[in-house]
Amino acid sequence: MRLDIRLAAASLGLLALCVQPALAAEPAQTLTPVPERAQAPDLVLEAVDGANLRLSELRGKVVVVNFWATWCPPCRREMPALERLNRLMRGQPFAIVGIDAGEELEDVLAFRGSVDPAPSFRLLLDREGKALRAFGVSGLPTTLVLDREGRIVYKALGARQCDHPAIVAILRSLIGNR
Amino acid sequence: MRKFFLLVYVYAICGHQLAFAQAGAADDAASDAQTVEWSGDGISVLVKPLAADPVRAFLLGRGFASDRARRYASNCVFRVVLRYAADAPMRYDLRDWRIMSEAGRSLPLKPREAWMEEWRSPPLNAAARMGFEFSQLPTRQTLARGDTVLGMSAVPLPPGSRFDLLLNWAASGASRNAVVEGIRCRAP
Repeated sequence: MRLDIRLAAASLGLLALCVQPALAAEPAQTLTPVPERAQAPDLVLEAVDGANLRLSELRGKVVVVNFWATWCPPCRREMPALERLNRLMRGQPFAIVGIDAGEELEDVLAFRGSVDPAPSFRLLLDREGKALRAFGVSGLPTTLVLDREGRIVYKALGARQCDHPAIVAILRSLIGNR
Repeated sequence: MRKFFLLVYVYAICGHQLAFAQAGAADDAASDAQTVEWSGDGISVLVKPLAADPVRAFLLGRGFASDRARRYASNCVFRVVLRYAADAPMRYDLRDWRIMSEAGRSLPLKPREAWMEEWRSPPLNAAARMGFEFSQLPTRQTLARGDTVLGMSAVPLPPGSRFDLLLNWAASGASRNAVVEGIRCRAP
């Protein structure tokens, strides 16, 4: 019994040593301010649930625009945190849209069904890449944040833990700054 | 015996965690080759050679014709992950990067635009075009603290070749460079 306890303690210590470099490798959880604050392109995109969405219809809300694809591993990993953020901000002038890069409806639906928690925010299809070009996106995932006037005010290249308190604080501050 | 299995279990978990830390956002089934890493000046660069079959499978899955998928995968294909953690933004241009083969051959990296030119006729359908384009390491990018970019690149070297990746970037008005040494192309 004593041996088991010592072994368990040694194992936990070893695990802690192993987990530490993994955590150290995580990127800083922040968003980069965009000084130009350019107006976001106003595009109409097909939503996976049928209706089209014109991005300017979201004016008045802080909007997180996430560009992604089902074949992109960091995009897939980022999706649950986006949904947790969506739930955290429910009831506030806030929206998330996920713009898929060039895939078919069935690919996106199959992926959505596999995510836990499944995205309940709007997933849009960018079949020809017009949104990617209009927003100047060159890598996936890329996340942009639009203020309530529809200007691009923050960006993030690569995945983030989108429900991290530091990111939530930035978004709440934007909601408050009208 | 229980002690042995417990330790094996712990090492297995450790191995997974370390592999995750090293491969970062870029894990896949083809990644048992050694990842080579360089870090300094707030940037970390991971280079992981990829086997031809999963690369072909990825392209076929995006809608590539079989001959084109084979042609791309016949190169030495590797994935690059750049992570940035310094305060001053950094900017790179892939067209300034080179590889140095074991035989002393210096070769440029082929940016996505050059590949797209190669795939121009007959044109790729939209899904294949976007899948290919966005799976390649972006040609030019400016990274801020916390940013990560990743993507594939390919050089015309045979399987098993070794090479160094010579990269450079600009930050705080100064040009910086690094060499990621000893990358070995995957066997087919």
